[in-house]
Amino acid sequence: MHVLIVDDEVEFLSLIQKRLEHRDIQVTTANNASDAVKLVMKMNPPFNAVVMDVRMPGMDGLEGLHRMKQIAPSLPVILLTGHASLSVAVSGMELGAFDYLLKPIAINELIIKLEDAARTGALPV
Amino acid sequence: MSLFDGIKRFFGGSSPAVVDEAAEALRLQMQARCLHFRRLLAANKAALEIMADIEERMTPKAKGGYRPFDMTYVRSAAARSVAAVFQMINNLNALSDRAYEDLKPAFSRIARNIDKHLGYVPPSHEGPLVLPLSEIRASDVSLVGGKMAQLGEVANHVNLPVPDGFAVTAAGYNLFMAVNNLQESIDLRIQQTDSSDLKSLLELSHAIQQRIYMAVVPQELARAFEEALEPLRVRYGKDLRLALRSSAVDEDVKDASFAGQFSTELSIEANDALDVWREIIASKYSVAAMSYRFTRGILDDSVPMCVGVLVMVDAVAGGVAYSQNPTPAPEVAGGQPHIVINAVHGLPKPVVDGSFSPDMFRCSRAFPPVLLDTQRGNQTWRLRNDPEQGLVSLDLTEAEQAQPALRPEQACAVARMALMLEEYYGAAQDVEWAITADGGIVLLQSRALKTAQPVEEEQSNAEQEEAQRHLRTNLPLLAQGGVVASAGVGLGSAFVARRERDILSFPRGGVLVVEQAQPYWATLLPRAAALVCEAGGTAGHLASVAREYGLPALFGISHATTVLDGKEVTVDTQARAVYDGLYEDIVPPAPAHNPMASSPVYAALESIVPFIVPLNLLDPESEHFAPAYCETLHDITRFCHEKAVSLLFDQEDSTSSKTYGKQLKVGKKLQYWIMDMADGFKKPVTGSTVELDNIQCQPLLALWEGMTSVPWEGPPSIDASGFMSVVMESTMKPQLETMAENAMQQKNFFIIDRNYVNLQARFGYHFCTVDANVTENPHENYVSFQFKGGAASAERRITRAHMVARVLEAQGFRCDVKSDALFAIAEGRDQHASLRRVAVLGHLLLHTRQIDMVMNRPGMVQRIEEKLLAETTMIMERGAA
Repeated sequence: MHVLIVDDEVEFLSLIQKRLEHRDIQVTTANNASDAVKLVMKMNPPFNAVVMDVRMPGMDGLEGLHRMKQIAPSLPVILLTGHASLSVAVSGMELGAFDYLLKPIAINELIIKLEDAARTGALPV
Repeated sequence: MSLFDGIKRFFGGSSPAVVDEAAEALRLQMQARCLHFRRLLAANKAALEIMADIEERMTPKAKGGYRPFDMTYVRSAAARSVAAVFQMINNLNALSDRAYEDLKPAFSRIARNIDKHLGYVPPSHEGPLVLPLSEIRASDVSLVGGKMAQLGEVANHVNLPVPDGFAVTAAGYNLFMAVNNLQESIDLRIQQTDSSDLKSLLELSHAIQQRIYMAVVPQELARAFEEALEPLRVRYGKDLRLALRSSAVDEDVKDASFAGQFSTELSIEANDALDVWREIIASKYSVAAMSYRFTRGILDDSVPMCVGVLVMVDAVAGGVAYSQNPTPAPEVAGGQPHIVINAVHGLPKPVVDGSFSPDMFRCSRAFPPVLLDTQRGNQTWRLRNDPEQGLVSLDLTEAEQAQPALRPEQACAVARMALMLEEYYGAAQDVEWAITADGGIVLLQSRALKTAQPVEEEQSNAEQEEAQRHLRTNLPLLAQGGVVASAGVGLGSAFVARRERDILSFPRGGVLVVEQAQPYWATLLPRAAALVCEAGGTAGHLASVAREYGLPALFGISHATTVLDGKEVTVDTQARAVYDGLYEDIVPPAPAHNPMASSPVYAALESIVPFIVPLNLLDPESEHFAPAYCETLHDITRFCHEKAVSLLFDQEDSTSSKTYGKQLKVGKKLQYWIMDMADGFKKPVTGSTVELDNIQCQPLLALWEGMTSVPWEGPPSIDASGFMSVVMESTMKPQLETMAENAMQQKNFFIIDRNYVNLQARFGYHFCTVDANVTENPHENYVSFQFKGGAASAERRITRAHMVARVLEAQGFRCDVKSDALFAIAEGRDQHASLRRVAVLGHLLLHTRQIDMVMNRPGMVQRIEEKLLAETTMIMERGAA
């Protein structure tokens, strides 16, 4: 499984990357949404899933999600945020987020979500 | 997970059926449908868990009190439940070719309602950055905080002497926070921290305080500060030393004392004052202060930290006076109300810090007051303001120790001041004061006295007799005496905390035992069953917080830290006794005291509950069982679940059941339908029924074994009446009677593959779910069980959930009971151990229905529990080597 993790907190990125790689999950990281969108555009074979922060400088996670869905409609995108917000949860789900999760998150919980998300991407559309 | 492995095997496995294109298309469709169904179930579980958790926070349990929460919890519960329900809607629509798009308007309406109640705007606090004391009035409380507003009012209207000085206002604080972009980053960090976890809270406190220490004081504020300081420099010259006192704005919460939560720094040089101001701002984020706000439901950004900068008083004595004894004391002044004064030699700080027991004076409330009696404390040192060295601690000479901190006429003068303040404010006051070298009294602080919980003072003869009357002489006594800082009975394991770092090892529910009543122990009070201190008066900060939390507390118990350490104890303040052992029967537990009530955080959760938790959609046959009638998130989950189950299993549906749903036959046809995803049947089934001996799904067979073995007072009826229908007999809701008649009610559904079983069983008007995956690889194995609701009364449902949880825990399940909802799981066990646990669930499933009928009989709960425990243990032992 190959996942893309998007977060502007570099410490968080490297922590998650280390933990996921420890569990044999291939990880690519981006510290802003516009780089992430570019990666989604050019990655072949495509990512199995994306985990993206919502609050980031520049393009935010919701906009990033919107663009990713235009490029790859079946790509599962999980929003992972430290800032619980009802409107973001609703907007995110409406834009087609696979799930809306809150930091801090147990690594096992994230892996279960990623595996489930990867299955969706593999389903016939 | 195994479902997908199963599906893979089905499509690519070693013995694939010869499939034509139509069959292949159908299977693909089924694969997607099952995936959506499982996802809907997962979202349903998540949503119900959040709702159960919310319910539990709103209705505290009698035992263990209630669990406090912060605004992060409220926002996150709202956001997560909304996201989960949206996922259910999406998956239901995916299952039904978008037949339920009309759920979305209902969903949006509910989400909007929730959102509307979460919009909190912190007050703005416009005004000058600093304000001289001479300009402060009581009405400035939102600008300078309670402490400074009262002091200004007294200085300017009551004509009592107060120290010279000024206040740095909330506007000054807000400017500092804004320029350094602190509030947003603090909010984010708080959101990401579990405030109920002390270790996380410690890390959070450290990180925030570091940021504040490093933050820059804006020039505008620094200039205003210096301009306010200048007249004091001129007036007091080189001897100028300052006291910086926190004065938090607490306008949102009634009764929040913030006692001792924030710093007061004494004897500060003028040149250091601005740096110390920043330290006091940082003290807003001490562990004790954050824990207090969390426990009381106080929002971080609703408490701007104002600071009083006051000229030090060179006190020869000082302390705290209560203008009224808050509880009747029949032995004093013939039971008349009186004034209570706690006093020490030197600066008054040790009285509120609880460093040692102060002297105590009681005076009449007559004009002029008369000294009624004096109780000596155990002071051995005093604090002094030294213009050269700052704050110094000096040992008392023997002659000084022999003298009470106040002469009788001084005590009466303090008492008179307390009465004047009470008269001015029209309410009993808690007054901090100091006596200067020339004999004058200076007021340092005055606030309304809290009388919510009884405060009793030093033990008089009559009180001793009263305590003696309550003493249980048949119980082993570890300690007796002291004073009651907060009334009640608490029991648990005694834990002696000596250093601040012991905070991390304190066991939840323990009895906290400390030498001195230092304010930082307040962090542990929400987690403690009782508090015992060797020293400290009832006027101290720790005593105030104990009373706010309704925590039983005894102060002045000599040698408590050596006598009680590690023992299981019962603290009974009525008898002023600590018994060796746990005695739950001493006093019936008082209703849980909720320090969050009336807080903005509690109000926020309370305001969104009506849109999340209530269930209005009860009867699937009713015309009101429709999206337009969904008023809460719970209604939507109920609707989605009902429709999803129908879509997948309903006989009328052409895609699913004709091909995949098979009715179980054991001799005769039973009300169980089985959908086999892959390899669950030994031989292909062409008809509409499947025989039990044609099933090779191990978890299903284990579940069946549990359901049909160890009969309970006669064989359980697993026939067409449906195994949960007995619950209906005790129903109090008329809708349920109707539902019992409807055919859907009586069907129970299994989804299986060779290693997986999912059972959807009706349980009153809720579902009960068993979900288990059992393979040869322990890492993939889990056995989970979930139920909530039912037709019995709430009390019985909760009792039942706890009882079933205890039985399951004894069999190695990890259980979580929230209100009447039970979530149980056993993971990572080997195949045999997992299958045994599936059988245990089968047994409980079937017998839980009988529990409801007999639970109302006294003594039955224990009997049933013992019986279930014995039976499930027998099931667990079956097949063991």
